[in-house]
Amino acid sequence: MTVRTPPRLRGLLLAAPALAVVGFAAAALLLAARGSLADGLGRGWSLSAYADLLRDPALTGSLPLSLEIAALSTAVSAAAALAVVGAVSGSRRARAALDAAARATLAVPHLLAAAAFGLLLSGAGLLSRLARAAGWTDGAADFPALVGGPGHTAVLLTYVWKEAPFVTIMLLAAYTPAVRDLETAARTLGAGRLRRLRHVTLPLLAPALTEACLLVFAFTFAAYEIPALLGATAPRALPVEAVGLYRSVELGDRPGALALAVVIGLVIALAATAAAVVSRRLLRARTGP
Amino acid sequence: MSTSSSSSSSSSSSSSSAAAGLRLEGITVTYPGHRSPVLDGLDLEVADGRLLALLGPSGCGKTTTVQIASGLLAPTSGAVYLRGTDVTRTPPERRGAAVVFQQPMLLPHRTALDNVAFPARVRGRPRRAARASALEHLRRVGLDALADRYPRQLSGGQAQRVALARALAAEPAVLLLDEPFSALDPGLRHTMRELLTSVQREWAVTTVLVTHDQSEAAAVADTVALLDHGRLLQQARPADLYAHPDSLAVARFLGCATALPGSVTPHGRFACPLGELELPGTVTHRGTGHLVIRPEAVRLDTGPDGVSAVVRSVRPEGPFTALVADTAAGPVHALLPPGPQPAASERVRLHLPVAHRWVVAG
Repeated sequence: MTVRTPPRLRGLLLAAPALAVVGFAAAALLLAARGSLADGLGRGWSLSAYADLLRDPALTGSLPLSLEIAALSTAVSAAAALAVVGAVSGSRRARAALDAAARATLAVPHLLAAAAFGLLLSGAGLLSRLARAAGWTDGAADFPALVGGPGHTAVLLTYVWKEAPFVTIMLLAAYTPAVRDLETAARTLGAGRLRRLRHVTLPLLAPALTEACLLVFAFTFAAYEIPALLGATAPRALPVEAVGLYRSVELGDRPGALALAVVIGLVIALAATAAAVVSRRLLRARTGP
Repeated sequence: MSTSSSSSSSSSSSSSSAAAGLRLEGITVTYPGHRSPVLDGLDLEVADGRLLALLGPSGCGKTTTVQIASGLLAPTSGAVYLRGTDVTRTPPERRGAAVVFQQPMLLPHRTALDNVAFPARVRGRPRRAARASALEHLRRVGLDALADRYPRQLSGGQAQRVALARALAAEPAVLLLDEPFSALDPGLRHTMRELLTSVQREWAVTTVLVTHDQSEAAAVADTVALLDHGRLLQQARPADLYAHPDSLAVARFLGCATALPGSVTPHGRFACPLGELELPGTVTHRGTGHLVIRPEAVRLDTGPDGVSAVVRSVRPEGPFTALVADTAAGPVHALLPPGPQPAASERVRLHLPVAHRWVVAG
């Protein structure tokens, strides 16, 4: 005979593994927040770590830089993904090919992508050598500083190369036969390609696009490898600064590192809230109040 | 099916000097990887402002015909003319052939009003003007009160009416309806048919209604085109189609199961094992053929001109009784009105009214 569990307890038991994971994550965040509010030895309560952040000119440059990298990477990835998905809309074979290509790109680790773009774009890299061979430049010094330069071109290019395929996969998953049928119906009503994209495809893919953009923004804002390998030495992206402080020999730098991590977390939480508001509005627009 | 009587004559085709609303000329469509074509040299003509019902069993090429006419599919060969203009290479968005599909296909993020305003908006009309004319179109289909509803807040029939209003708002050269009522329940389907005929007559828009339902075709259409295996079997007014089918295939599809083999004598009588039967003067066919007669025309009769038969089966069909009786020339199917019915194996006499007799070749 089986013992009947009350429904409420049963639900709690079923949710326990998920709750445990969430609990661990929350505990880690709380510990980091606690650590950022301590003095250098991890004791007592102090806001000095945050005050130091505000005073350090290198760090005050990091936040706008990271925001810029994340925002630009997200916007360009979204635009590129939308363009290619719109371009292959008519053909099943083209959609399958695009899906396969996007998945293949997704499988490349970020570290490897950073290394590859470094070899391609650096002063001594492949493009630089080709430009010299073609007679366009006189040597490495003449080649624009894509890697480590003030424009962070290499960082942005690598992020777009890695994240546009991710957005593409998300959009292709949302680009169901129902959406294509609506496009067909709109076509017989006189809507050309651009009008279909604006009035049919974009509104119907908007929820998926919003989610994808949030994930890309959160990742590119918080990730370390690519700005660490391809970014300039000053100002550095927030995660690079945070890791640097965390690994510092000075134990007194630890609260500063944790404060940076908290700032990164807060920005992502803000972005997630904004995305949730947008999502809810999109959903309401689709279903009516 | 091997009845290859492909006499695709259009008995009601008027003079083709005036530009037809829609004309398909020798349309052949072969899908890649398939050997036999879906449409095989199809010729079809819809007079300007008239309603043609495209009737046929599933898989006969009806939907493909709509896709060809709308431009969503390019024919392997053949040409499409709208009001006399060759539009074979014109893309759907510039062709002016609005389609109402089996599903309403309304934009879920737009209200009923904005869905109907959509065709005017994509033509570049300002929002306010587009909405004003959209409201007028919604009023035509009786839904102006629900203009602010989103598609999810509409019932199936309401949504399909909005779809119809939206297609009309596109002011199309031809309106293509691809089984638009098949997903609705029978009562609603009836209402929708009436709405369609009244709106179509009022706007006089050239219309093609695809259906597999004969009663729907007969109820709304000016002419009915019967399609099978990608070929036009016959195009005629509904009453003509029932009374004077061109072939055995047409007769069978329209529910005329009786087909007695024999031949028409030079004097216009039908010679078969039952003797020489009289034929109406409208029968012009001579030589071998089949005598067909609709089941509802056949009656039980004890009179002298009846045909002797043995009842094979009797089964109820709604308020009527479907009877099959074997005669010397073959089985005769009858649909008898309510009343006392013969039993199986009983010997009866069947009256085959001369006016309802018809002979098809083959």
